[in-house]
Amino acid sequence: MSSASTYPPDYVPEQHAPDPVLSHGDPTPPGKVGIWLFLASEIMFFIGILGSYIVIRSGWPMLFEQQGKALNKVLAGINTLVLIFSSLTMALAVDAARKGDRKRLITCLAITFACAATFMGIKYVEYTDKFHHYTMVVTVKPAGDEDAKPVSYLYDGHWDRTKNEVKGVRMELDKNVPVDIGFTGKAWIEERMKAEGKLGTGEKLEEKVHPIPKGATIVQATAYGPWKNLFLASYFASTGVHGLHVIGGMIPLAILTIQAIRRKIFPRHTEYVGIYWHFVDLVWIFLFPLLYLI
Amino acid sequence: MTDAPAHGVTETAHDHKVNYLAIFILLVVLTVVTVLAAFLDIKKEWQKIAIALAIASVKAAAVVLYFMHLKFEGKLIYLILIVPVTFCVLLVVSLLPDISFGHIFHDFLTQDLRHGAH
Repeated sequence: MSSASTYPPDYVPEQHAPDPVLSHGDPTPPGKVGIWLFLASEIMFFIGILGSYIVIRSGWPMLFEQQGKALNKVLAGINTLVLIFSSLTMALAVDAARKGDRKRLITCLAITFACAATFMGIKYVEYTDKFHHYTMVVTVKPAGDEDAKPVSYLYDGHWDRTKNEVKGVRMELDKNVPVDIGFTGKAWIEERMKAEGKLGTGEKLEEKVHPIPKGATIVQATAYGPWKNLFLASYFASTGVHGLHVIGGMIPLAILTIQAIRRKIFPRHTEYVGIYWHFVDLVWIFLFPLLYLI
Repeated sequence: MTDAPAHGVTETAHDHKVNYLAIFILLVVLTVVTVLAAFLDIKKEWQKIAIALAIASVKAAAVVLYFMHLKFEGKLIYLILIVPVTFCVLLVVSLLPDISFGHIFHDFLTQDLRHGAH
């Protein structure tokens, strides 16, 4: 009998190796200590980002109240539910791995992976929407009158460059009031128009297609990128690093799924990946209300 | 091939039956509550933040305790977690001067705007 044949064909060393810690009286396996230590450093990483959010927000609460309205609450809400559901399937996957239920493990891991991909897909839609959303100052010279003074308009909305039109809102600018487009937006335009009496108190500004007239000059323009203002900077920083963590979680999820399909089940590894995945969900639980709702 | 009883020490930690579906439903309900709370007409900003953070903390506790099995872990994991949590509290406390002074400066600025520059 050769030494190799003493092991059954479905032998997985990870499950059967003696635990070095056990004999010392501590029931926690070293892998679990490792993943919790990693999460400890992750907590401090995210609190650093949250700390900058606290300082920026407390320094300019009005900015956050106004600019937060430009974010898509519906997509973020769907994303929250997607992540919570993926946490449920991950917990069930850990349970299935422990019980050796391979079919349920594959299903649960695949659903978790699909949820992560859905989350990133929705995030992609949100980000591209922000990068096509422009605020700009446009000056137009009235046609047919050489001596007429040019009129300035503030546009805010989705800028279609080929048709040269903006789907959103527009207001005429008073030349004597300086405007910083980084801090303007639809909510700002509404406030300003109400203050100038162009909009009733209960009314909301309707979004329409506003073409940019021929011969008009775009004086200033900025997309809703992280460079626009401090609110968007903290939005992109926090959701960006969170998105990277989601991608980071998808890699071990894919590996575990492939291994399960290859008839190899790793209960402990699945558990550790699960702990990490729930942490990613946990971070989003805080980011969602902080950025989108309040 | 059979699981040796020696492994039992580790495995008992996992044998607590958690109703994951109930935790999931709780999380969904709390998500709906936090969205609805955002549409309430609450004037004071700190009240809005307090409500949102309170709901988020309950959700986080449910995830950590039951999904991440922290409730069934030994002392070592809690010991590991004390360190970052302490640092988190220290960081936020050390930001308090920024938070309070920020509001004072903010008030000065808005007062200037209201009364016009002299």
